[in-house]
Amino acid sequence: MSAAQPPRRRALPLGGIAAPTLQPVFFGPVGATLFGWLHRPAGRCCADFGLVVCNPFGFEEVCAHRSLRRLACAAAAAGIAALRFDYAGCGNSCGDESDPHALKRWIDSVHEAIDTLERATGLPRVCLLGLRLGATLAALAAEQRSDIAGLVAIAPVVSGRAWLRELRLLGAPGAADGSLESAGFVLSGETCSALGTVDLRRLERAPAPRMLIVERDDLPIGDAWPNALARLGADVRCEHWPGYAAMVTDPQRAEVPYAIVDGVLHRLSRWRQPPPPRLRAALVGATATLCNVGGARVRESALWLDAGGARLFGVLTTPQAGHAPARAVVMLNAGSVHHIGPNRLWVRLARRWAARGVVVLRLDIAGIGDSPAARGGAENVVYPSHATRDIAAALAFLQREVGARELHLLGLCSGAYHAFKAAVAGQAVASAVVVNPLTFFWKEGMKLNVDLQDADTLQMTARYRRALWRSETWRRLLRWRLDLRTIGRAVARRAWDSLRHRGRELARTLHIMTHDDLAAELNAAAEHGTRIAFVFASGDPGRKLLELQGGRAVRRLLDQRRISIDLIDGADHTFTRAEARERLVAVLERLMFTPVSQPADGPAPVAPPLRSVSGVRGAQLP
Amino acid sequence: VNNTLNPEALVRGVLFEHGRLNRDALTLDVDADLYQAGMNSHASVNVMLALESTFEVEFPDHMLTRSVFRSIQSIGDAVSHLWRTAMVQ
Repeated sequence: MSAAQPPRRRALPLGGIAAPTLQPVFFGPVGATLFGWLHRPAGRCCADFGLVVCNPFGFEEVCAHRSLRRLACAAAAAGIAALRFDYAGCGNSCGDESDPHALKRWIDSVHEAIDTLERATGLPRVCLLGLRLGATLAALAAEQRSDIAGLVAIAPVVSGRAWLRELRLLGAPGAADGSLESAGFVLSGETCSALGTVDLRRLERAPAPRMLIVERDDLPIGDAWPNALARLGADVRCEHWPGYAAMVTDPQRAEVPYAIVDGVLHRLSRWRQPPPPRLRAALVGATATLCNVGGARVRESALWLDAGGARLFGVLTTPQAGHAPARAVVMLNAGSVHHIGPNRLWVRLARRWAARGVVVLRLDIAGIGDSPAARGGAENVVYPSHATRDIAAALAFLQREVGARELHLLGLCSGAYHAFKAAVAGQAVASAVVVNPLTFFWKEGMKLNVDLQDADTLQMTARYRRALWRSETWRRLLRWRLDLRTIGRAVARRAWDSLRHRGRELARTLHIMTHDDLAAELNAAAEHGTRIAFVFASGDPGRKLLELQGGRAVRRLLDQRRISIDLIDGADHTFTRAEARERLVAVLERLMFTPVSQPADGPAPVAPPLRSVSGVRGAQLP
Repeated sequence: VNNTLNPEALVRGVLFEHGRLNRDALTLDVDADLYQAGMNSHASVNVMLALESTFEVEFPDHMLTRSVFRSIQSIGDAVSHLWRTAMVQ
């Protein structure tokens, strides 16, 4: 074991990697198909092994998705074929993570991925690379095989019990059935029990002859596992390269850990031997699969779309059979979350809705998820100016290739913003479902956390208002322990915003055109014949922003039923809690499956009446 | 555990290193809400792990809640409770 200095930063051939080297594949047993990405080197393989990338679980996977894509791209650019994939019940793979016996199915998924990569390349061996729980699953699968050339474990979860304790702190109170809900994902009681017994320090044989352990840069993981591996005869190397913490912080701010990518590639290059002279590579997997949803089957296809210089990735979910579907929905990225949607909600909705006859396209706009950035564009930009162009390409595809006649958009957070803007721009959509937007006006050059001030100000002043009723606030005030400067700034900004919106309302009354006029945009969408269905978590600032910036037009359009507003109590911005998410699903399904009358020359589409369901209510405007 | 060290100072040290606060952990009010002071969920897990390592305790499952890690005071109360329980046993 050693702890060498981080390798010197080398220029990685990442920027020029284009989509054609990536092949989306469905593989594995029928009915329990897995989804993955095969990264083939542009030329001949130059290693005697391929690289199977094992994801972390849940929110960590969402955060690290871009980094692991970059890592696999870099491996392929270095001549090492790579396969990254979603475990059973995760990402685009069939099933649900809360299904029982998930641990066994995940380990089986690793075996499937290894076999698939070996068939795809003709190579006899693989290296495994796992991040967090992915490292654990890789080690557990590797222990049962003899074709593992090496294992790279990044911030490995050594003890399943310790990992479950971390999830508990992030999650909801424990359920009676032993299941665990954490950070938007749910594990069954049986899966938790199985995970609780996992302890990599008790492996009976070394998972691989050569191992690289990349430690966390925020907390030590201890040397018990490396020592145990050394006792089992593995050649173990431990490194302390920076980048782990920044990779898993949150999807919007996640940074690719270049020191880790560089270091891992350097280590793999030391492990590799020339490949056998005659490789018998085979075509593997398919670009489409069938998934079971309740009693129905739906078809999922991975596809690329051209959008004016950008290649966009999407997953199309369609009813298995039948005539051309009338209705199609495009689901958009929520912030930087790739096409699976917040807490994998888009996957579940797409399959449920396809089972009811609706076509769904889960789209990655350029530079987000698995869509490469447009030429000269930046990656991971959640409010790019090209989003409307990307949406237009998706809508055109659904009209021309799928034959859909009625199109809808669904987005949350930045996706809500893009859905709204597409409707304002006159895209031919019957409705745009706009969930928890944080702004209605975004300008190029703005920055997250700095330029969402309207929303921040509303949230801060609402918090201060609530705090006024707590005795602790007054005690702290008397002890001079409140940050009065910050409070003063927020209150002053709120007062200024209020004044600004009153001025804008006056300008509207006098028919004076102003920039960034939300009322004018709402009217424009209505004139285009698009129903805007707003859905807000009741504590989110979007509803207040709509009222303030839209002014009297909001009430008028509500009265005319050209827009609708649904409020969902007890939910956070991304509907992390499963119970709140179910109430969101009920609202979305009501919006989606209530017929929209849209005569060509008649009045604007009619929104369904606002209803009250448990914890869900129609908006009450002042 | 080195009992000569002030537990509150140790908690502040852990928060300084792992809490990712947008305010100074060393001067923060003991009742201040750490989540409002910038501690996100990921950081709270690291704080929990670092506290366990620092105080040589293990938070039982029923204490793995946001309320326990909400302030320096609540963390101190939880650690004191765990120490007392350990001494009784």
